[in-house]
Amino acid sequence: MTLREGTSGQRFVIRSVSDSPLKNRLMTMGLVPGTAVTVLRSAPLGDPMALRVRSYHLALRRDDAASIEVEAMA
Amino acid sequence: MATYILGAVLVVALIAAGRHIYRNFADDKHDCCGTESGCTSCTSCPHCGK
Amino acid sequence: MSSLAVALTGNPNTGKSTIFNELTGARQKIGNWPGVTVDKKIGYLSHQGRNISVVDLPGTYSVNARSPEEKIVIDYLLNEKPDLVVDVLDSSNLERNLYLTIQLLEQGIPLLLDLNMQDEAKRHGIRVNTEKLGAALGMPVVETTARSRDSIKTLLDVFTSTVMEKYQSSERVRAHIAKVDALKRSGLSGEALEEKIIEERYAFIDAVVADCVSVAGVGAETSEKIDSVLANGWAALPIFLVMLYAVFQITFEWIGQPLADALDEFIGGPVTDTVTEALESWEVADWMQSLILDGVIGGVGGVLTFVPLIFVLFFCLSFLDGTGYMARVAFITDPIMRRVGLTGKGIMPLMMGFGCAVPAIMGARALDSEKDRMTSILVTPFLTCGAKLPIMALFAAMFFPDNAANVVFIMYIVGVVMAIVAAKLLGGSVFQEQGSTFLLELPPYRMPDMKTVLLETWDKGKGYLIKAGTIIFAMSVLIWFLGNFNFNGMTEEMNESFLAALGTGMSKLFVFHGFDTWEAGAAIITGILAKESVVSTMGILYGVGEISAEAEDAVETAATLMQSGMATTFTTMSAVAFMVFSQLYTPCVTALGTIKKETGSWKWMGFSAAYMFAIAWVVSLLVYQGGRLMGF
Repeated sequence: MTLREGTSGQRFVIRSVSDSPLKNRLMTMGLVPGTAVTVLRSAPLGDPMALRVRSYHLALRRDDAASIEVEAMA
Repeated sequence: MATYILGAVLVVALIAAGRHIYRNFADDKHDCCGTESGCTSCTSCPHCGK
Repeated sequence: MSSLAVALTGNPNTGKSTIFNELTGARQKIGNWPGVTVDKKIGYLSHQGRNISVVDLPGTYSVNARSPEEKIVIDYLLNEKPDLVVDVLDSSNLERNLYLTIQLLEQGIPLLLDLNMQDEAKRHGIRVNTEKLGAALGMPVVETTARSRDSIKTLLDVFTSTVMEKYQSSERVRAHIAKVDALKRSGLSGEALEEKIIEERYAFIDAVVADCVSVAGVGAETSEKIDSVLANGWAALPIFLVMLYAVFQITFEWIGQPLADALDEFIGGPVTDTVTEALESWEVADWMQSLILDGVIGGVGGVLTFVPLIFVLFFCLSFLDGTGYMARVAFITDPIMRRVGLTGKGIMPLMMGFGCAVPAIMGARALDSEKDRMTSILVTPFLTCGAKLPIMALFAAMFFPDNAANVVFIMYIVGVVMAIVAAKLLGGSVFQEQGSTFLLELPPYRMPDMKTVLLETWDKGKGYLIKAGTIIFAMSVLIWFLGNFNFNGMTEEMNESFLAALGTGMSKLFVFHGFDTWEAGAAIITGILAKESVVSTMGILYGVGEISAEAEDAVETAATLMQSGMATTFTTMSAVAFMVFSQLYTPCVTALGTIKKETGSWKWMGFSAAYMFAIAWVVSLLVYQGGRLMGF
């Protein structure tokens, strides 16, 4: 699945980041394969979403999150 | 007499103001918000820090 | 005395600027990096017999030289070779912060690592073993809490005692660099290579952090708890509006306005009286008395009166910015902004537009897509900048003395709504649909550093004072001249002056708007040069400043104002129409110049000037005629 479908409270591990204009910036911000991501909350209307990545918080639109392939963590 | 002195003072002030305006124009500076840059003050803002 | 050049670098939100401000205080010079309009801040101090200059480099997450800021950082460090490069890190967020560190180490730049925000890290149960970290990277490490005096003292001692030549990258860093070099030779190129290198860097960071950082289990972070209220779902939006409303109440009711009233009374009363007496006792010619009293004091004084409002508003905005709330505003408004063709990130340049359109237009540069940027540039000038604020405040006080703050608030809303409508229209017609993105750090909530907030407020407000002393002063003299002379020389009748002729021409456009007087026309013309001029022109033409100052309280002020020429030429409805027009029409020449520079095109500048005038004309007409139909 992709991070796009993530709901509040879910935890994931990033599998891969597919090609997109944001790819380089996402990776620079620490979203590389193997990184743990927690979905914190959503803005009104459910988009964008707030994430915890590497002990900081990041806001991202769901369309952009679709380029991040993730795997759910127990 | 006082009129001439005041007139001279005003002319000097006007020239100084004009110089400032011209320099701003020539150096592409703006007085708004103190400096010429867009992100002067928002170093704390992630938007400008990119 | 030997001198020492220090450069501060680091991620945004690490407290870097706070450290800079605490180190240097007001001994700062703000200049410009060559070729780009990004601020270059240098501060000076001396410690233990050494003169230290500190450069505050722009906060960046990396140095890939993709943005002007990143390019400045890397160019400065590589070419200027400061004696000491301080990498300011947020201790509670080392993983991402170390990315910049390792990138700089790869470039062979020795760094003093400043583990800042120790207080926050402790609260989060994060412990960094500084010795291990220093050994892992081969660089000296110092711990600070940006706002504590002790930390600043420690930092200064370290500055003067550290000899960077003694430090060399560790074995571990050299091994990492070797891996990166191997990747560069592996035949990969472009994006693919860069991505491999990014992964390699994070692998290095993860290993270092695993060795040096321990996290004791702690409960939910404070920011997390605050966000569950301030940035969660629908409730977040009304809270945002309440905050904005509070800022307006503070500015226009509780603190700003009383100060402005006091200043107004002072300028109109003691100052004017003293000057008048002095001029008479020196037997100054009548025309010179008029020039000084009506022209300079009426014009410049009329604008100076609003200085307290500007400073209070800037203070509130700087304070909010310092708390980290602005990033949440971007987050919660993105769903709305996106639907009108903008992005939540655009809210930040837009909020700057309440100060001045010029930095707001420049700030749009940080937006990700060309469409977002252009739309933002073209709609920002609709907002009520600091120079338009006096227009709104003056008219609201005159025509709505009991509801002034609310009327001003409504005018701000008119500007915002118009910006949104224009964004929607431009997005749908002028610009092609393009993808837009949104990626933004939500920094931890922090109590802003007061020194930083005050310095920022001063920086921004200063410009307004400088303008009052230069362009507004010059304009006032010019307006006085145009208002008192015609081809036959000086005239007693302002109605026959040059200005009346100019204003009459302009006023022909406003026959159906209720304010087709030459005075209003003249104010509109001068307002294009600088928006404050609308008020100073009114002040000179109607002598509003002197009249209002004689009053003791708001009711009396309103009563005296109503007797002035201004009150008789405007009805309540035409005053509203004039406010709406002033709010929306053509930006000032400075803003137009910035639009030209940022879009690189005269066409867009001309478009901006023309379409805003047209929209202002139409909306103001609708307001006036609509109001009349409804019986106002």
